[in-house]
Amino acid sequence: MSKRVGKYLPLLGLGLLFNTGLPTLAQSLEEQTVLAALALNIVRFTTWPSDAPMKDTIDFCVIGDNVIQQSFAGIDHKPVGTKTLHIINLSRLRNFEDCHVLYVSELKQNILLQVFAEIKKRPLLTVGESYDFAAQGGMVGLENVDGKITLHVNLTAAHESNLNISARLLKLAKIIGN
Amino acid sequence: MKNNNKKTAISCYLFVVILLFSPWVSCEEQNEALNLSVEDLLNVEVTSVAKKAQSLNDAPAAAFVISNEDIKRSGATSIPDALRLAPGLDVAKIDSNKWAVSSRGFNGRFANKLLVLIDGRNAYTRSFSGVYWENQDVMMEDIDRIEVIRGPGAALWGANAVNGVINIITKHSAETQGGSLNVGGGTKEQDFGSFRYGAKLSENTTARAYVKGFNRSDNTHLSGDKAGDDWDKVQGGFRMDAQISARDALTTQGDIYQTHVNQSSYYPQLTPPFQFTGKDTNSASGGNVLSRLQHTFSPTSDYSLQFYYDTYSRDEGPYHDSRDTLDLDFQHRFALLDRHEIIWGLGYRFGHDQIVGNVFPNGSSIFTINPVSVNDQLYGGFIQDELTLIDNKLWLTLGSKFEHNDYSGFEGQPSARVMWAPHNQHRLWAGISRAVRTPSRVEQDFNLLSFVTPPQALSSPPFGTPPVAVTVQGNPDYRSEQVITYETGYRTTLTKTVSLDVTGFYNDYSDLRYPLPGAPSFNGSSVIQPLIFTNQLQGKTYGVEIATIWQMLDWWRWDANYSWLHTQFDNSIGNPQTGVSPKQRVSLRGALSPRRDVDLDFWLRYVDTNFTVGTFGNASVKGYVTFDLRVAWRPYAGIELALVGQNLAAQKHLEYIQENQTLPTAIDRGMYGKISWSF
Repeated sequence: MSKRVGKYLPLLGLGLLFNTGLPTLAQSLEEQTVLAALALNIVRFTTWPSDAPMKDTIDFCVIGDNVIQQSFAGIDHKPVGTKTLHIINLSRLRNFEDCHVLYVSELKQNILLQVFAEIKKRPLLTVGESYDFAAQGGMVGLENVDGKITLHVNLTAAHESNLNISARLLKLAKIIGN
Repeated sequence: MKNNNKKTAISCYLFVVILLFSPWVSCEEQNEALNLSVEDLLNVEVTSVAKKAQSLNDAPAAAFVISNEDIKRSGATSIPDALRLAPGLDVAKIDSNKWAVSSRGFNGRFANKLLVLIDGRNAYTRSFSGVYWENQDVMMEDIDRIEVIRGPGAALWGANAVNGVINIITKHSAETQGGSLNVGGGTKEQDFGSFRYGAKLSENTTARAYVKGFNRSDNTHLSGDKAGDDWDKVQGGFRMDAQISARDALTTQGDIYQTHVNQSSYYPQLTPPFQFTGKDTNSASGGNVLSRLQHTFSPTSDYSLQFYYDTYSRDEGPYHDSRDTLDLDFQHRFALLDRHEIIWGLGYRFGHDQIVGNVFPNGSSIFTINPVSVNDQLYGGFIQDELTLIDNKLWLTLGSKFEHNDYSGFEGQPSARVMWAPHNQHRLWAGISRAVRTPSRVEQDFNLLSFVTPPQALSSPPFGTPPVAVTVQGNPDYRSEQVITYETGYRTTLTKTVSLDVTGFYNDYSDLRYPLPGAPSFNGSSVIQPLIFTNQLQGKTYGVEIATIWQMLDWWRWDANYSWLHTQFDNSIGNPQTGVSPKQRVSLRGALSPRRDVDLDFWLRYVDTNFTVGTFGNASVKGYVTFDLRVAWRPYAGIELALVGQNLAAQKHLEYIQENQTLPTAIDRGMYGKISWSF
């Protein structure tokens, strides 16, 4: 066997050589890293109602796989105004009342709709990745359009929950609904 | 020694290159991203290519996912050929229209320990406990993913998920809106075409319909003659998804197909010359319709109710097999207390078959079955509890299926699994399961003339030995085969661009099928030597499966799989008369996209010696190395031109020898071109 496979080893070697020889694509960052950084900024541009239960931390709940969890670990403990961000990885779809922010990376359509139904009108900022996240009842949707992230904001959903999103952010977003 | 040096050098080089792409890079990226303003973050180019190398699946099982992109870039044109992408699966092409597909050994045309589901519909037939792969097809472009679970899946999916479950899942119709036209042709893939159109029927309803067809040309016998195994197929189907309310979704889908299958066959007969070869022209047709209602109570609770009807009619040279299946399944998932996620379900299946032995044009027949038609039922339930012992760290899954079938009665199939995530880059899991493979119709009821030894003249004429006919006989007392499986696995993302998945398993089989010689009889002209199916064989298999992904560059990914399998039978009762799958399999794939509009792919495969048993006697099919190449170019948005070369290493190579009837057929080198237009 080794003799026959041996014939193809040069191919593999060639591949490895090419690796160092060719340049990577121009200035680009990994998607999850950018999403985490954007999410941090969105929190910074959001004001919660004064009666929202909030102490020293803004509890940021994440629904996602290990890749998402790893990326969001990078924004854990970052300052947001006078408070600090606290990342909570939700392994079960419960106890949403412990969250100020809910970040949904990927969830089956039928379950996502029920999550929205369950947290409706609570002062809970919802951020998600699918292209129609905001259209379906989420507040901020992050969509990858040809390699760049586009922001979608559902103002109605944010207002219903008494959350205020800064005009500076809204200027950069596509607004859904009125 | 020299070889060893070479190996060391390669692994060193690999190690150095991996280091170059290690997490330091991503730490830097993270800081860079956090220093950017929102405006800059929305303007920066983002890459998500390495995502596949980073995602660890959270199932405590040996699972592997073949994506739509993987299938496209592999150049595979059929489901079984796409399955070669997964580790641990043994896929061998018998001829142009037949495959032997199994997981963790025991391969054969009628391999019986692998359960196959297409969008929740069971493709495994009770007739011989296996899958007619030539009957199973979907529009390849509309496959969302193929989930391959090696090892027992019986606690959830039920009997016959002994060594694996394959879930072929097509896309939701909302994701296949618009048109897709694919046409092409070549040497082996003579001509093919498919067309799908998806549309929005109303505010909450999307649908698609498709039609496809192909002609595949014949391969070559080892002697160099044409094998006459060409075939054609036409298939059409639809899928409709409706969101009836915020809580209810309804999916309805169906397919219908017709195929003509040719083959050169070899059959025994009781009269001189005691064997004949024939050119069979067979046909098969079938269809199915499935409907599934899903109701979601809350994020942690939903149920689904599924119904399907499946029918097929298949002519083989020696017999005709037709079957109608009605199936009803209910599943409910809910959270209990704070730490339990329970799934339970109930199922009922009704089957009606008609299996008839055919008479060949020369008047002989080799297959009889009694009774020719049977109605059978299957009912059962399952319950599984996924218990979170430590949040985000440790899970225990306990479950069992309990079912009753008309062939072997009650079967209990429990499973216990544990998964530990010491860190979000690492997963360790282990499990113990019991599964059964229930008897097929033929194993209990058929009689097959397997081969005839011609009469031998003795030295003093007119005396001589009469012809000896060996017949394989079903046994109404034939029971289920069973296995106890011990598995353990480790998955990690070594760095952001490298992932590794290693599984080890040990399978302890009992009551395996063994054809026991019965008392010979003399019918006046021939001696009949029956071989009667019994459950007397015991065996063990153990092995290791490794799957790695390395996203070397944004535009260059490597996928490498290695499987090692050891099969051992209890030989005390005699020759086990069971095929043994290759000990080693290697698959190495490189996917390059040097430009946004160009893809280059190569796929190298090594398959070790395959041991087959059958009417040609026991045979070792030599191991082989082969490779495929694919080049694709997208000159305009929505248009792709692709050129694919398959099995390029040799003009022809033999992958498998079928248990009976099909003459050993070598698979030819092939080339095809394809144009795809999405609009």
